[in-house]
Amino acid sequence: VLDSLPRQYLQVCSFSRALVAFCVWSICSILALGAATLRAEDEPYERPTRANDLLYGESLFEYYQGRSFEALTILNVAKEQGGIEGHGDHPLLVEGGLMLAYGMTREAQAHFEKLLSGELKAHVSSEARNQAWFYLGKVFYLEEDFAAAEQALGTVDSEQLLKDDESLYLEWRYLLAQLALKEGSIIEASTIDLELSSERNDLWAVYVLYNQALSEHQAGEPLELVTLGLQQALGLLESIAQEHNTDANSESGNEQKALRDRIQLSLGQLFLEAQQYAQSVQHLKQISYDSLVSDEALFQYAVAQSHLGNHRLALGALNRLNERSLFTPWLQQVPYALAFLHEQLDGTGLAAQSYKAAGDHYDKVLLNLDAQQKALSEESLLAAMEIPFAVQGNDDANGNDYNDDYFSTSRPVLLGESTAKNDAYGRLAVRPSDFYIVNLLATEPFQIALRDLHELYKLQNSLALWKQSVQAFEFMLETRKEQRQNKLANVSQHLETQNADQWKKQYETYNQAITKALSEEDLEFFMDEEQLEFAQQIRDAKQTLELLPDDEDKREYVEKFERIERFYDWWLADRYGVNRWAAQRELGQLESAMDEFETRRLYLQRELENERFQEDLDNRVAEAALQIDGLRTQIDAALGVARKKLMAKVIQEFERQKVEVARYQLSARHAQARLTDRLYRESTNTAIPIDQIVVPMDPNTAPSAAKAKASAKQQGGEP
Amino acid sequence: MKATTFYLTQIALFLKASLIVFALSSSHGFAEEAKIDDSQPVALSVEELKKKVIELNRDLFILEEDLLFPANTQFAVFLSLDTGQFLKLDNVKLKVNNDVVASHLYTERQLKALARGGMQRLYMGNLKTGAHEVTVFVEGIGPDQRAYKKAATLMLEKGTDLKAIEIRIQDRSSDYQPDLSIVEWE
Repeated sequence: VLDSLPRQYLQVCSFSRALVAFCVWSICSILALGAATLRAEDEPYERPTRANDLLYGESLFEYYQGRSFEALTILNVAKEQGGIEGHGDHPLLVEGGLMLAYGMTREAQAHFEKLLSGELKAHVSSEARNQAWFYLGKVFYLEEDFAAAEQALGTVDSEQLLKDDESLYLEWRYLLAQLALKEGSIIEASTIDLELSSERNDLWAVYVLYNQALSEHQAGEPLELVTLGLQQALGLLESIAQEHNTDANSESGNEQKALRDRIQLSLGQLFLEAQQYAQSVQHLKQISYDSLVSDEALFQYAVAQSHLGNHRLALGALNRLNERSLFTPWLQQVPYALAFLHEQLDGTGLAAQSYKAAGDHYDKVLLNLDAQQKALSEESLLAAMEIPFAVQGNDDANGNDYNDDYFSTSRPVLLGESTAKNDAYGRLAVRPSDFYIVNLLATEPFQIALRDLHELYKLQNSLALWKQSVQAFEFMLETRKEQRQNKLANVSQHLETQNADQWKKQYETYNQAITKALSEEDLEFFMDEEQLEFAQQIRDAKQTLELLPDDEDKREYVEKFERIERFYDWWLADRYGVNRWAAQRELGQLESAMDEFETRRLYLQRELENERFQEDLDNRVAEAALQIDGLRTQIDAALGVARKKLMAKVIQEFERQKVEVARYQLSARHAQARLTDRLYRESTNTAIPIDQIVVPMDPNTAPSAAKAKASAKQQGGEP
Repeated sequence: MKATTFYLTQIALFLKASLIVFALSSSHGFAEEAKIDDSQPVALSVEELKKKVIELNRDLFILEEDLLFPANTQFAVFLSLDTGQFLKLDNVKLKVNNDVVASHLYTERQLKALARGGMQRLYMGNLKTGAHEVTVFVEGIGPDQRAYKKAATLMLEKGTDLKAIEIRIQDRSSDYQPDLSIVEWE
């Protein structure tokens, strides 16, 4: 079989990959708000119907727009600021899902393992846990980490999964079967209950039967056994289509058609290889012209018909292939095969011309490949690809491809653009715009290398933006520092004008005077305004009395004055307690005011001298700038490696294609020489030794030419 | 006829060989790549770099908040949407003390994200301590596909702690109308 497991794997893989986004999405959906119930098994947990934490809500908002990076950042911010409240341990589970969505599969694995088997195990329902293990296993399988996939899938409780979701259960069985096949184990076809699979609409079982048959073929099992397995797969497919009345235009209908064509092609190839050409033709005829595998089928059909002697039918098939504009490996051989059929049909003259044309064609292809390889650069490589980008204005459309509405424009690849369409793993949805890249794009290692380069460019772009932000922060801090200095200078000046020390001194004097008066019980010290006025009046009256002549009136006045003085003394003594309390209260109030004033003054003084807050911000900004520079260096280094790896793959592909084309070129020239010689002999009846025939040859294929010559001699072919 | 069989079989063999060569060269390619950097695959280092970049972005996020929106003046406005059955949100406008501070036009994707439980940070700014008036204007398509406009106002007292409010758009099943409210978060 010409295209056994690797190609088949790609077929299955490409089908499965369409589900990757859904798969990662499903993990998050199970674990995030608004999905399946998560609860502690021993404690009822009421799932919140809305976000109970602002940052969690914001993180979900970003995530549901496919902005995993932003969502992860916000979750990390929340963790740094004390965690998320009101959602139990769900945010941790969601974080794991986001890691997967952001292509951090290793981190996600460690995260999930910690969460799903550790202390949080009891907080997640067995249904959710089971499905999370399933999806995690599937992600690993698609990432081709089969050991991790086996481990995760082995943790799944099959009975629970069947009870919860039959479709997941069927897929789980398929994944386990695939893993077993990859380990070289043979699964008995009899273990698959065809009737039950048909009832369950289990297309996965068809894939298992198909892959199983191809594995048996690779293991050298007899043709009958292999074809029986394929026929069983075909039978199950037909049975499913009939039982479930699948619409041919539906997604499932298209998948079934692709699968049917694939099985028919494999059967055709197997019979062709076994030289059972008529049977091969019977199967290949079942494949329609618009099938994904029609190029291969047409070519195999031409080969089979040619073997059966039906050269015109073979020529028809090849002409049909020749009309196709897309370049595929199956079209590359058409010029040679056409010439060959011309030889069979129309004789030597036309065939010689066709071989010459084929040789010229391969010469051109080789020259073209050579020129492209020499001119190969990152730019020229990216120019050979196209990628859908988000429509301008929809700046929120990066991330996952679960909403294709936004991606309606296509242009040459510019790596690192966040609006480029990619799948849940960050793999770019690239399309070839040059034929030499077609095969390469279909390979997983190239896709991963391209993804890595794209991701690194994205990180580099982010860092460039952040560097600008940090520079703006530095500028802000510098300005703020200047403003602060100015403000502090003003405050200092103002404090100085307040003569704080003088006020303090006066307070102290007053305090001492009161204390002294208290200890001496100085009644007059605590007199109020009225008493002071009265005292003054007494003093004035006393002075006036002294000036009066000593007569009866004066004595009368003196007596009266003495009565007033006694009243005054009594009044002072009577009011002493009240007056003293009033003075002490005022002193207390003054003391409080002085304390507050002092506190404020000290605070301002401290603030004047304290640069810690500013310094802390300065340090954080400086640290961020350093981190950015460090990361930039690391990313640049990683970019260098990723670029080299990508280019190495392209060069490898060029070399492979050149070897392949050189073979066709050599064969075409060889055949041209053979026919020319025959024509010459027919006209002159004289043979020319093969080493005297000049065949245009690309210098790169010279060793192959020597090999071909040796091979021709070995096969006893005519010169 | 023998020659026919030979050459077509040769084509097939070429193809088979080319696939084998391809498979071998693929593995050989990996061996060569190992020479470029045999310490670890790029994918792993990309993942580590991503982790570091997320941490850095987190630090910058917090630093930016500390710088631009100190806790004692910080004021944040979030928007949440219920299932959106009675209102297809089109745009929102936010006024603080009669000044328009934020407005937003919604895409389909953003509406879906809101309907799934996400909360949009509509505005982030600074407010002095004291009383402030916050008003929100919402426009969209309401019940019976009619243009729908609604406003809500909240008087809030800003203290020295950060203040967050939520503009909440809910479906009200009692009269099949959308309900707009502003809720203060503690």
